[in-house]
Amino acid sequence: MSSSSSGSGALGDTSDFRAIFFEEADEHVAAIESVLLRLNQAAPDSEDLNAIFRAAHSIKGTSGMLGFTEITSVTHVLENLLDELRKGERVLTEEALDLMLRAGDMVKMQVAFRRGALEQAPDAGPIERELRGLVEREAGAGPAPARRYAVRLGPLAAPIDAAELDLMLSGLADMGKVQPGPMNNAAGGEIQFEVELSGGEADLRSVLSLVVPADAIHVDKPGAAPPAQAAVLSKPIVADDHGGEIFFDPADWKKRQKAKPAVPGAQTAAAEPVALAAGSNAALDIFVTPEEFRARRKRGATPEAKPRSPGRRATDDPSVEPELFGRRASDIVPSVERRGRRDGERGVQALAEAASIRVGVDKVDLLVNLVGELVITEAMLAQQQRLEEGDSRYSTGLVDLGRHARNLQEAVMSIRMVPISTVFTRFPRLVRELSQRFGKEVELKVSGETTEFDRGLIEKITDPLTHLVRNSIDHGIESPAERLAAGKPGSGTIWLSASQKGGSIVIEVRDDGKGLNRKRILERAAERGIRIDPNADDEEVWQLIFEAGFSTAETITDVSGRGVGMDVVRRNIQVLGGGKVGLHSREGAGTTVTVSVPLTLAIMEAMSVAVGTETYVLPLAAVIESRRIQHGDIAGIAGQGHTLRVRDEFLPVVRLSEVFRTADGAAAEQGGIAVIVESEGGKAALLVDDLLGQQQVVVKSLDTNFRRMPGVSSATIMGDGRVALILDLAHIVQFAGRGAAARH
Amino acid sequence: MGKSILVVDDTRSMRKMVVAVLQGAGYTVEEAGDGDEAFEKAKKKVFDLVVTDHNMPGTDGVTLVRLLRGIPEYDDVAIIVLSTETGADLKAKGREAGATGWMAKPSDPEKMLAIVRQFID
Repeated sequence: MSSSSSGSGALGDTSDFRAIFFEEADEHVAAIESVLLRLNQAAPDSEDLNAIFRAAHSIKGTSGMLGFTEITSVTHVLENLLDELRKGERVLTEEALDLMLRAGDMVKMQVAFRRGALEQAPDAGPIERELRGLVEREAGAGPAPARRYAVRLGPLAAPIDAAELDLMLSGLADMGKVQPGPMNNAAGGEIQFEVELSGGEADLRSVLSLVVPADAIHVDKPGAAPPAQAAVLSKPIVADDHGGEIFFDPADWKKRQKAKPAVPGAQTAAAEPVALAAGSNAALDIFVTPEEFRARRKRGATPEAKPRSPGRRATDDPSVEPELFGRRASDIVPSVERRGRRDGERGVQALAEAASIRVGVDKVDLLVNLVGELVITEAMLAQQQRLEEGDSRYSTGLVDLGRHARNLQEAVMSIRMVPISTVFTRFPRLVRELSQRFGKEVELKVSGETTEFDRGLIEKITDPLTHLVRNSIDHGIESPAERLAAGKPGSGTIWLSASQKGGSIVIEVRDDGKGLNRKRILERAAERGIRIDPNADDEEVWQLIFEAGFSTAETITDVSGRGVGMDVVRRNIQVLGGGKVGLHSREGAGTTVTVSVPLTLAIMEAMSVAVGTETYVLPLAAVIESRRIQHGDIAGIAGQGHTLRVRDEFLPVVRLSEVFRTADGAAAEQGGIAVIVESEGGKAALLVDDLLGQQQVVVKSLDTNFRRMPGVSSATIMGDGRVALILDLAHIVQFAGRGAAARH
Repeated sequence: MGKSILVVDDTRSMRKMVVAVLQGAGYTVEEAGDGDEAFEKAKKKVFDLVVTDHNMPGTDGVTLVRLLRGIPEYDDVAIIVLSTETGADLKAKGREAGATGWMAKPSDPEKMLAIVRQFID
């Protein structure tokens, strides 16, 4: 039985509180994660530690009230660990950091489960045990589990390069303390030293293996830390365990209840309720009994000389004399000063709280849709009015209506905009984990995270960006040894930045790694039978890595390099309203991938074209140019269907009238117009009868309103009220290639 | 008119739950999201009882108790700290500051009500 069911009488329906709690918990976990990732491990900021402690503490409190026991117990142990950290009783180790991050993940999953987003309850047991193990293991030993290792390197096959040896020793000295021993750095010789570090043996070995093959590394079992340090370490930790394990065990409560007056507020002996307070872990500690309280109130006296209550705990330290209602100036003054200083902060916080409200996404989406309809209706009216040459009063009214409608639309769209930090926040964690896994040192630098974009893009942009960052760590950034050898700092850097350029968001993933290897790409292209001029410029060569299945990774790792790489990234970006991926790379200096996507997916800059009596809409971003077709421009090339020569390129010709089987479009051969478009599949010339104009269109999903159709990505409603299809150019261009092949 | 209670907690969900329990029992409840806000409210109006969280950014619960005890009108007002922290040291500090009682959070709402009733009615 949980407290939520036992307490449902007083609390009533808990669903509202649950909803608030879920939001809060997500925010708290996100805050915990971001603070953990920015913590300086050597000297964590105490305010940071306090902030995460409070976050864990909040989650624990509410989850307990709501009966989410798994969340309560995980956050309870997490809180214990954080409490020791913030009090400086424990050193922040890599292990503790990892466990805390995983505890955050567990809370996230438990919340998802309670929300109904996960079918099965995740097992919180393992992480809880590990955390508890950590807390208990070192609770007696205190901070800095520095261990001493005796290291023997040898027998050496050959002398170690002196500079490398120095580098390694100074690296170890950075991590702890090094006591040099006999160093016989010669073939067949041995190098000995002692080292004292807080990291584990694995950390030590990984450093040593940079200069010596693994089989020549001998690390003796950790010895005890020197006595001087041990004395500091064994300082007892304040016995303060946050109230024991379970505060709200109903059985426990019942027991306590028996010891209490049966009816709340009943006049019983003063000693009775106070007896509840026995034990430092008591869930309830009444310092002043209600009876004393009432008696005092009647007297209305100042209690300076108040005698001790008879029910006081015998175990109490007499030095902690409770000045029950006393006021001590010395106690108050510093707090008042402190309060004054914080006043400003609070004002800002209160303002921020009042200035924002939470609204369901569905409501915003509805608003976007309705405004879209309004804009279209306005356009219809305006067109009607032009046709009928109506009253000028109407026309001024209509101009105003149009302006208001567009302003309204802009305002509504801005509600859907979120800062891109919502996407960027996951990368510090990813970089940390991947660089650990690949044995690389990587620093992530993020900028422009306040840039806003359509929230609908969050999910769609996250995967491609994750892929790019992975690529940078796996294939771009070299190992510390390689980097040092190349004269670069041992730690690599990845820059993740976002900015707005016109109607687009440009996201850049840049690394200072080894860059793309032109030679290997050309070799790989040859293996795959892709023809390319060996003297082609770099930009052209780099384009090859966007080919499906193209991977030059020398080893296939479990993270990237499976050959489903950049082509998938590019495709995923292109479907975002004609997003683009660019790439620059310099061998030895690094790679920059630039992703550009429209600000919003709900509105698109478009070009509308006429084919017979039908109107089609093309994403303007994909249109390169348009040209009138002269007699003889279009030629049939054996095996390649019809092509149009544009300067020195032969582009496949797509007759939209054929694609959509419109009855009367076939005429558009002479005097027609070719619109040159570029998409994932390459360039193509679309034959149309007329260009109708450029405009913003409100994108309507066909999936939700009708069904998916090949060659069509979505639809829109034109000014005259007719539905027009927005073309899926990637598909159509591919179709052009295939169709041509099939005909010949 | 019902007795008035001030509920102080920086965690919105927890605060709302405590408020709901107390309102359900017929008390007039006001909320504060942190110790400073609580202190400001308390200066303007004397509540019949205060329930406060301890761990809050800025002014924490124990400090709030001390501040409130600095206001003469709060001499006779019960102040109950509701906290997930129940370490003896901290409780001693709370007691020293002038708290009337200390309850472990999470707590059974019925029990919380019972305690509140003992001090307010």
